[in-house]
Amino acid sequence: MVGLMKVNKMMLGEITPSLIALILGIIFGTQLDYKLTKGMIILLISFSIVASLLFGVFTFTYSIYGGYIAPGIGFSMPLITATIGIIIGKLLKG
Amino acid sequence: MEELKGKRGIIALIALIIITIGFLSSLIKLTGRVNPGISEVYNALAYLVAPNNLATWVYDWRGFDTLLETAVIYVGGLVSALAIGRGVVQMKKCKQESPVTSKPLEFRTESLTVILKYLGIPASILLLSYGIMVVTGSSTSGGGGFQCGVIMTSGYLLAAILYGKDTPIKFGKRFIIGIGAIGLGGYALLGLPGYLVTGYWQYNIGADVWGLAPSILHIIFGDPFRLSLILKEGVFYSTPGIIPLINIAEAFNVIGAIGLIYFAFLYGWSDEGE
Repeated sequence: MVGLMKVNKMMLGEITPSLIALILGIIFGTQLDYKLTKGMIILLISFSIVASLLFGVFTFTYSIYGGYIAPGIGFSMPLITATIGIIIGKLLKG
Repeated sequence: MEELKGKRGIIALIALIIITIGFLSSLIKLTGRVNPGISEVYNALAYLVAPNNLATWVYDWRGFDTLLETAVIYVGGLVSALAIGRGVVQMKKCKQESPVTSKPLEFRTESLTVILKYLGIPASILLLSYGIMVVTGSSTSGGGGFQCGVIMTSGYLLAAILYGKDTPIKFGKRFIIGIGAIGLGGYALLGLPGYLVTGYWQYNIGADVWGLAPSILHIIFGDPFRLSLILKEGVFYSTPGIIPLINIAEAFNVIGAIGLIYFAFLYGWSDEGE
């Protein structure tokens, strides 16, 4: 019940930056000239998750990614989506 | 001036006229006080902190302040090319001197240390991600478009240092110019909606702290970035309005400016082709 109340307080400002980061990642990912191996993709995403925790969002803003699951912890999702976007951009370009 | 003939010239002329009229008419409305600008807090604090021209620029005219900073980078790039780029930059109408030829630098990736060899590329790619994170979060935290541009071009430079001309991050000439042009144009044109509605160039119609803009513009420019702030005093809703978009445009602008400098010194510059 408490969780539902919290979800209602979530605003678009939590999601839009992640979407913009994904789009920007795809744009810049098309400029990569490097063969991404499976290991490299795993390494990039793992590092991004660690970095997103280190550069986490302010805890006074509600965050579905952090605050909902574990109050006090905030993941900076735009960093992860940017990395995913770069990988997608690279794969799209071939 | 040949580039400005035809459709491009007409578009450039119309854009210049719109921006000039908007900017000058905004200046005419100045009454000696700090004008409604990006933030009410800035307006409230500006004259208390330092009641001078500098404070007005930094606090209330922050958008133009950053725009001019970028202009400084472009001028810096031009001066660098003129001062130490002899033979590197080849313009169409300046072919009196033959280009300076230097021995190609030998980058041997096998001589890189283990750390650089295996973590150099991930570090460069993660710098790009980090730059994107900084620009998307700049409306609610430290950082901004300028910092994003510097971080991302640092990633480009790091890859270039490690791998030379065969850098895995290959920002093409057209790509860099396109990014810079979109940034500069977007930055200037983001002031247009505010000007049309309120008469103030680059007025933040998304946040609309002065209550001048119609509600439909709040929805379009404000709601996508609206956040709920959960404090002890209660839940507050706040939006940075058009600032995230300005930051993205500024980031593109800086990537274009600094990226061109790196590109010119890495590959040389010629007006003819990629």
